[in-house]
Amino acid sequence: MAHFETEYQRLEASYGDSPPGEENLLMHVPEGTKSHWHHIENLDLFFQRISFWSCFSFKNLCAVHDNTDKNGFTCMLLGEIFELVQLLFVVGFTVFLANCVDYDVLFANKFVNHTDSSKVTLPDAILPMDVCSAHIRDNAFVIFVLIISGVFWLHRLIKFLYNVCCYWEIRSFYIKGLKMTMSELPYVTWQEVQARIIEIQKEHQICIHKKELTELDIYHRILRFKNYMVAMVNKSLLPVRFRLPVLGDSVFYTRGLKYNFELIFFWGPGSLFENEWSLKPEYKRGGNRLELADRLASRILWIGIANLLLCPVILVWQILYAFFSYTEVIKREPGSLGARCWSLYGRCYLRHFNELDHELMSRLSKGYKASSKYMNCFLSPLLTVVAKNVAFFAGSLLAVLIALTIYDEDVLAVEHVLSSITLLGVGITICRSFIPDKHMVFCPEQLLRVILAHIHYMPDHWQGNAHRYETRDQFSQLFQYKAVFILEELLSPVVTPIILIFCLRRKSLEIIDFFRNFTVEVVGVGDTCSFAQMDIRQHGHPAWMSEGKTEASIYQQAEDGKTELSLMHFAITNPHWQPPRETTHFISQLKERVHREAASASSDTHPLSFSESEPRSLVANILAGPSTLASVHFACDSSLTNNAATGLTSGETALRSLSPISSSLHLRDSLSAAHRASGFTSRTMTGSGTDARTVSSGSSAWEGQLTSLVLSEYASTEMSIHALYMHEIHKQQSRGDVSRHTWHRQESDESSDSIPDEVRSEPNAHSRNFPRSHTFPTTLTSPSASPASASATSGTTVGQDGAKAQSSTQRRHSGPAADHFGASGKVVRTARMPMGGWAEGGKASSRHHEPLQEETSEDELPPHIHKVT
Amino acid sequence: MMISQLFILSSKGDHLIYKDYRGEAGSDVVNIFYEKVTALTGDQPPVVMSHKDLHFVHIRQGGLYWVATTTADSSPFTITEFLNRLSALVKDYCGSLSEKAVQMNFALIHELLDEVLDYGYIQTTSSDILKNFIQTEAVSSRPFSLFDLSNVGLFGAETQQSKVAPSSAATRPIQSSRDQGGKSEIFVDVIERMSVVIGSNGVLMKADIEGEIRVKCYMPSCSEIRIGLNEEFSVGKSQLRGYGAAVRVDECSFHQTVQLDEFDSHRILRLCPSQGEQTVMQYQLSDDLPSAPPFRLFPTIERDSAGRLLMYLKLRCDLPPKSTAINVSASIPVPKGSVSLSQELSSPDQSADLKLQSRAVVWQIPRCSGGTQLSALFKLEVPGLSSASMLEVGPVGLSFELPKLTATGLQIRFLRLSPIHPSTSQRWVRYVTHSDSYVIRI
Repeated sequence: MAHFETEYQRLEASYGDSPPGEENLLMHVPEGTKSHWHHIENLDLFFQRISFWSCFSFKNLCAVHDNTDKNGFTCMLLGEIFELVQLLFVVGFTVFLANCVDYDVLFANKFVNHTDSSKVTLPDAILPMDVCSAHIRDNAFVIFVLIISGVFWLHRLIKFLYNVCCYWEIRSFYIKGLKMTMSELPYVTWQEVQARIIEIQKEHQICIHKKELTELDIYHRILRFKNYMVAMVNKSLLPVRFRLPVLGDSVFYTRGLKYNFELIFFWGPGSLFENEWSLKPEYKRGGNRLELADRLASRILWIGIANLLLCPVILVWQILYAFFSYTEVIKREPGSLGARCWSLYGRCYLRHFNELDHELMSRLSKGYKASSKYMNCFLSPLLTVVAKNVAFFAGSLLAVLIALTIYDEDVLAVEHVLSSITLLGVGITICRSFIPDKHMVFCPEQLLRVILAHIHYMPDHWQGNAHRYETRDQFSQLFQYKAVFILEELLSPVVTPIILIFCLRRKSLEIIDFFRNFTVEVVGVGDTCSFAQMDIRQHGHPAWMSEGKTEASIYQQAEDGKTELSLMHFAITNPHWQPPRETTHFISQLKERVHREAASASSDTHPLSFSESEPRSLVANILAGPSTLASVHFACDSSLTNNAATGLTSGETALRSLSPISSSLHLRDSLSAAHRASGFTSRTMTGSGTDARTVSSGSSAWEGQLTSLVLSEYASTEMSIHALYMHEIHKQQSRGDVSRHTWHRQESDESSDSIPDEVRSEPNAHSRNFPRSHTFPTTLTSPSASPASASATSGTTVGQDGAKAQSSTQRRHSGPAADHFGASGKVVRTARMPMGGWAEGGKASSRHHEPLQEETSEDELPPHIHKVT
Repeated sequence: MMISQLFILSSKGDHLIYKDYRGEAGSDVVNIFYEKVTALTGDQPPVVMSHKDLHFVHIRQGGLYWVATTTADSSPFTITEFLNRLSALVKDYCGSLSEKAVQMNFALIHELLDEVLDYGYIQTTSSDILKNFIQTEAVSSRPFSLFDLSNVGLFGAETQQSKVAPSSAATRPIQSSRDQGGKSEIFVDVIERMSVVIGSNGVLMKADIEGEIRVKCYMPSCSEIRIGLNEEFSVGKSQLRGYGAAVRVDECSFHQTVQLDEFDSHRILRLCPSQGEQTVMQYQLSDDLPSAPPFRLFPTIERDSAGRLLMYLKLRCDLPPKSTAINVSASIPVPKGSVSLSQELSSPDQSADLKLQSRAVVWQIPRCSGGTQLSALFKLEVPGLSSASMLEVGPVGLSFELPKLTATGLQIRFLRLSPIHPSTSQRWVRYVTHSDSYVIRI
């Protein structure tokens, strides 16, 4: 019989599992698409890689911006290969420098007897091979270091090979599953990838436990452990904050420490997690918490001891690594040591729940300019005077030396002249970084507000105290000097074991309690941190607008309004996400308030005539304060090439009229509404291409990306406004309240008891003791109207307003699109029907999608190529 | 009814297995047989040949000669059937039939021959009985390939590997080594052969389909399986069932172990398969194709000014767009005296060459998806091309394999093991339609 190439297909197991006799019920077997990506077990890792890759290639694009190499896969491979090579080089070169160079020759302490010339060449300084190897063989320490680094290298190599396999699989998923070609991959944003994944789940069932994936599920999976970390930092569970005798209140959180935390909690041997997605069952029960805490404590002790033993190795490694990676930078631009960067702790503190790395990074980068400006406000006058003078003396010395050198270059040959020139140069650069800009205006309060617009979190007592040194010092914990960062990293191997053994071990019981109390099992996701669910009712803070909605005790409340702000952030960045009903209500209510305030602010002719106590002018207050926000909007509106950072610096656009802000606020909303109406299919970006065209005038090739850029830009602005608004409200609310914010919370304040009881919950418990029932949630929370009608009215008004605003600002805006916006308002209404109208809303929106696509099809789609082979 | 000797020869005449049961003839008969077989020209030497008073009965399976000699007047049909079953048995035990497999499993085959025949008398060929006696394990030679490593599911994803098994998955020995854990699997093949003749005017002149369902069972213990066919399956012309397009065959026959009590009502076959491969059901459908024939050819043949023969062929694949045909090969007979060929093919993965001894141009297409149209332009250098020799361009023969497709539309609805096994038992199905003879006249 002939040999066939045809493959066997698996007969689905489910058909065989029903007992015989019932088979008549299963008559027609749908053919279905045979997918290769059915049921992926380790979705966490899978999504992480996907997001990483998407962001990587996207970033790549932004950095490179040309069309030569569009293959993110190659880039990543090359990067990893070079990393391996770099590692070999660092070790090899160090050993070589230590053992094989005759420094006497190099420093000319010893003369080489050359016959022909007196010049010393580089090969003269290098010891011969046998001497060199004998050197190495004799030195036990070098051999030890070599062995350790060899083991480390092998580990990296294996990891690299594993990564290659992963990348390969992801690549084939991108190509086959998500149906993207390699050429278009770099132009795809994370939002689009995510949309496609959600689409693909419908037909391929990557996750078997659920029919449909939501955005939140994907984020949960990607950020499972990060959410835990954010929550633990938020609840001050991790010992990263110390009161040192000399330095005062300080923060120590390095990469090494973070690695150890993750090792202990998440993935190390014997960690709390069974696998990537589930907590070990014994940790979910409260019965033997003491025993578990003991076990955890001893584990921490062992890891700490291991750290202590490995300390010299890690230390040597850190020093070498820092030396080789930073010397070049320092030599090139010595000022970079005076520059600042967001500290690791800052990233944890400022991160929302469910915020991806690239989202956080872009947010923080936008805030960078303002932050460094703010920090520069505080240069001490004393230091400035000293620095100025030092710079003067050093500068004159340097000038003389340089002049002499120019006159006769033999000066260079004099001993130490070259080195002193270099040192003086470095010194001057360092001094210069202490001398403030002449044109600097001291306005810390406004700067801080601009910063807040981007970083979204800040302790309460900063507001109004922006000019104080305490605030500055505390802010510098989030935004530290690069030099400090490097120094901390270098210190980390020594400090980490101490922290582990002496601080973290004491907290083991609290940690066990934390993981037990704040872990929820979500179908299709596994165990996640309950804070990351962003449920106002469970973790809301009454001082952060969730008054009356939250049922959380102090222990359960997320600090600093993290839950509320994260919720807003997530809802704004993922406009298609459909939150649970109460949450939807919260979001729509808040949005409505902001819109109303914005509208009243824009109608207000005199924006600066507000009084602080008047709540309705809050937005006016906000908008007038960080006037630069307006310029951000202008930058977004007029040309996208201006990014937010440049907009921030231009302070002279201070009193731009408020209308662009509010209109752009509407615009963004109507955009997203239109977006929602256009259906969240895989063709989303082309679907909203029309909207993009009204805003941007880019070439058609870039249109899709521009659209997403526009949307994300608007999203971040909208989030900024919301964050400011919420902080403002919070400030008014908590005025007079007992302030309890993370910043100065004492150890005793941390409600470490495991059983959250209602007794110790609140001083203002009376306001929260509403008779709550699920049948009347709306009448209690919103006195005005039922959520459906409220959101409907807001939706329609927003739609119309958006259309108006758009037609006023954009001339290219035409009639049909306006109709579309009006229609989108209706769609929003149907989509927000409280009684299970979501599926229908989805259908309606997908129906809406069709004409849009036709409208855009003529130049959006590539011409059909009929394949005749 | 006895067999005096039994031997297996490779196609080159090497003695792979030789076993003398009765000592009635010397071992030189092997060479005599090989000389007799090779002396004959033509495709098919007669199955039964005789030399002096010795009769040779042979079959060819897997490129090997399976020969039994007998002196008595025994039924040649019995011996032929026995040889067929023996080769099937060897295939089941060794995994595949090839010269190498037989060589490597020398001991195993001898052990089998000891049990199957006793003093020349046939004992049993049932693998259920034999498995109690056969102890030797098969040695299979699977080449190590990097491809197996390349799609390791690192995320625990059910990727290609676990969804689809390569066709070679079914060619493993039934008595696998203990450490392999004896994966209990069932492979079901639905294989249809198509013989079609299409006239020069495009009319379907003959269309026959012969199909069979084969079950290859690797279950350690016998359990009843139930195979459900399409509900619409109907036999004969009159009977029509269900709605929609019926899956109709003219006649079908079943393996003797198949119990048909549920066949009439629910189209369910019940059987207790023994280990190894067996044909459960055979069916045929003549002079009627449920769908259009998979390939059509539009040839243009003319003479160009330089006296060359110009053949412009357009091959249209009429399969549904999701299906593909693989290993398509068209053989076009060309006039005598054709010297050389120049070609223009529509894609680089195709190839064509002139086979001089068979006087044909063979056009190979590795893959051709449904709805596409391929074209080829052949220019043949034929010295002294006359209009008479133009007529020698004869009917085009196509051979192809259509994976995941049955021409009749027969599908396996389900396959159920009646003492329900845990999920360890895996069930695989494969649909193939291939060409028996597919001739398009020009």
